[in-house]
Amino acid sequence: MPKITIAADLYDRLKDCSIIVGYSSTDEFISHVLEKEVALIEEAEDDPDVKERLKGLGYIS
Amino acid sequence: MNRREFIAKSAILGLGATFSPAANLLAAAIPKRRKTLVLGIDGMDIKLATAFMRLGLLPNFSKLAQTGGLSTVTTSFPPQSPVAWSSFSVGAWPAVHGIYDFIHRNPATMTPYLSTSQVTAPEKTFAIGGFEIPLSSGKVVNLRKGRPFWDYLADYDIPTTIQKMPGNFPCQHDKVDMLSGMGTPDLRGGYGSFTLVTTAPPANTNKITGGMVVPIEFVDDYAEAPILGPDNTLRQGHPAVTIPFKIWRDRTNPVVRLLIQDQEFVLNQGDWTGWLHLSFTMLNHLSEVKGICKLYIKSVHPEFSMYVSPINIDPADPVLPIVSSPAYGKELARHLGPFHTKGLPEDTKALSYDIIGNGEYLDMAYQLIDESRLGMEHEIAKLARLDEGLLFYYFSSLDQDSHMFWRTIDPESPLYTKELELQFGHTLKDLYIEMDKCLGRAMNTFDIRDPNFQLLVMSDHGFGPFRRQVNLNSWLHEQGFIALNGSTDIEEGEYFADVNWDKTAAYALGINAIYLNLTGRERFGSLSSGQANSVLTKIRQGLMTLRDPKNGYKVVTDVYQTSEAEKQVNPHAPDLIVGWNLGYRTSWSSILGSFARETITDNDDRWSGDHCIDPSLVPAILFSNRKIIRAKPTMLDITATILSEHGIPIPAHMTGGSLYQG
Repeated sequence: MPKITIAADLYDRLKDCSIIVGYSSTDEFISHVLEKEVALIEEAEDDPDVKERLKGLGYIS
Repeated sequence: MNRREFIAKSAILGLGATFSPAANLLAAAIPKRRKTLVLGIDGMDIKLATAFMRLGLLPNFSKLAQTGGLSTVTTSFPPQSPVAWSSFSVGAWPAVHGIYDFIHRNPATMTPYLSTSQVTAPEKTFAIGGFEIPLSSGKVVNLRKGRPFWDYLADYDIPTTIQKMPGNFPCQHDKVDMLSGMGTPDLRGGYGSFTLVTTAPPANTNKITGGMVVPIEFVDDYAEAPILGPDNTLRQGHPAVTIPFKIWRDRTNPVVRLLIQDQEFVLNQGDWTGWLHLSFTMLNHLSEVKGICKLYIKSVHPEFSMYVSPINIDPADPVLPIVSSPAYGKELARHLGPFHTKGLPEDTKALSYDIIGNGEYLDMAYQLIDESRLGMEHEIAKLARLDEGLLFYYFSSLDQDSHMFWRTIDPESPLYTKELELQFGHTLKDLYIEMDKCLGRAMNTFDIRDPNFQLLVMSDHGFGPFRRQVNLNSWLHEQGFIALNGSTDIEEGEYFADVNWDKTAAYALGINAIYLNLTGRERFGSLSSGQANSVLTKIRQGLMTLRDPKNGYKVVTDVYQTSEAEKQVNPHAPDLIVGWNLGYRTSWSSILGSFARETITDNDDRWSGDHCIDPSLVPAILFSNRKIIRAKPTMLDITATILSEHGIPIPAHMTGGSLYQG
C-alpha cells in the first residue's frame, strides 16, 4: 500500500480530530477526508450540466 | 470623510469660503453639482452609425455629435462584452479585473465556467426522506476584481443607479441602486433555455443546445405537458421541478385554450401571451421559486407547436440577488411590472435552431426594446428630479440583433440571399433608429447644453461579419501542439475527450483564448516552463501567417501575449488571445474543446455577425454632449472622466484620463 508523508503537526491535528468525531483510527479518518475532496473535484469534472448551462449563451454551441 | 461630510463640517467649524483661502481653493476644485447620464448601447458600430447618420436616419445622434463630439474608442483585447464592460466598470484592463473571456477554466480540474460569476450550492445539507435540507446558504460570487466606478460615487454620496451593467451579477450594494446584467442566469441556472412543446419534434432535436423540445400527443384535441423549472436542490438527486399545463385545441379554427397554475389563456395561432407567472414548489408550503415567461403559439393544427421563452427570475420576488436594494426591486416591480431579468434577454438560440423564425424573433426584439425604453424613461425621470447623480442604462438589442441579422446585409455571408435582404435587410437600420428614438427621449428630458449635465452614449465594441469559423483546437492539432489518441471519431468527442495530454503543449478554450498545458499549473500539464516561450512564439507565428485555403485571406491579424506579471496576478489568464481578422472567429465546436475534420469552414448559423476578433477592427463608439479633446480615447478614459467630472480623484488602479483634456 502506498504511503504519503505529511507534516508532524498536521498529523497530530488529524489524530485529534479523528478521536473527536469518533473514527476508529487516524488512517481511516484521513482516507475519508481525502475521498470526499477527490469526489468534489471529480464531480466538478464530470458535471455535464456546467457545459449545458454555458451553451445557453448565444456565443457558444 | 466624504465630500458632503467635509463640506458640512467645514460649515459647522466656520470655514466659510469668505474667510478661508484654502476652502476657496477646494471649492473651486469641486465642480458644481453634476448629473451624468450614460447610455450603454452594446455592439453599436461606428461604421453603421455614421452611415445611417449621413442618410439623416439618426437625428438625435447627429445632434449630439454636433453639439459635443463623436469618436471611436479603443476597446479591450479581446473585444468581448464581459471583458470590455468590466474594463469600463473598474477603469482598467483585464490585468486588474481578471475577466478575459466569456469562459474561463479551472486549471486544476479543467472545468469550464462562466467568467463573471459563480453560483455554488450549500456545502452542508442533511437528508430526510427524499429531501436534502441545506444547513448553510449557497453562495453567489461576482468574479470581477477591482473597485467599480460606482463604488467611488457612493463614497461621495452621489446618488447612482446602474442598470444591467454586463458582468455585474450578483448585485449587492448598500448605496447604489442596481439591476444585474449579462451573466445573470435564467431560472434553470443556465444562460438561456427555451422550451418547444410540439407534436412534431424537429429533426435536429438531439443537436439543439440552449433549449429543449418536449414532444406531446393530443387525444381528442386535449394534451398535457410539463414546463421544466429549476433543479430542486432540496430533493436528493436534484430532479427538475415541473409545472404541468393543459392544452385544448380547436381543429377547425386555429385556437387553443391553455391552463397553467390557474392562469387561463385563449390564443390564436401567431399570438403571444404577456408575462406568465410561474411558481415552482421546492418544498410544500415552505419553499417556492418564482419565475416569469412568455408563450407563443406557432401552429395549432395539423401539428401543434408552442414556444416557451426562457424562464426569467421574477424581479418581484427574486430567488437570486439580481437587484439591489430590495426596496429598489420593489420600486421597479411596482412601476414596470414584470420584465426580462436574464442577462442577455434575446433568445438567439431559438432563432439559430429555427425554433422561431425571423419575424417571430423580431416580435420579441421589439417587445424588449419597448421594455427597455420604459425602464429608461422611469430612470431618467428620477435622475431629472435629483440635484446630482449618475445613471448608467444598458441596451442589449443592437448587439444581439446584429449577431442574428448581419447575414441580411452581408452578401458574402453563407446564409445571404437577395430575397433575405429584401425581406429583412432593413432590420439593423430600423433597430438603430429605435436607439435614436430612445436617445431622443433622454435629450428631451435634459438640456444637453447645460455645462453641469454630462451625456455619454457609448458601446463596448463595434461589429463585423462572421463568415468563416476556425476550429482553433483542430489547427493546434494540425500544427503538432495537440496530440490525439485517435480512439474516437474526431467530431464525436466532446470537451477534449480524445486528447493525449502527455503530448499536448497547448489548447484552446473559450472564444479567443489559448492556454499552455503547463506542468504544475494544468491538471494534465506536460509542458515545462522552459519550453513555454518557444511554444508561444511558434503558435503566434503560425497564426499570424495562417491563410484561408478557400480564398487566401489572412485569418488572424493580431495575437496578444499575456505578460508573466499579469499571470502572477491572474493565474487563470490565457497565455495567448487571438485577434481574428474580419469575417473569422473561433468555431462553435472549438469553444468548448471539440474538434473538426476541416479546420476552417463556413459559418452556417444565423448568428452571422460578431465582434470577438482583433479589437482594432471593431472599435467602440462614443457620443458626448461635450467636445472630446483626448486623442485616441479608450474605454478607460470614459470611466476616469465620469469620476473627475464629479470631483472625485482618479484612483491609482484607473489608468485613463479626462476626455475633455488633451
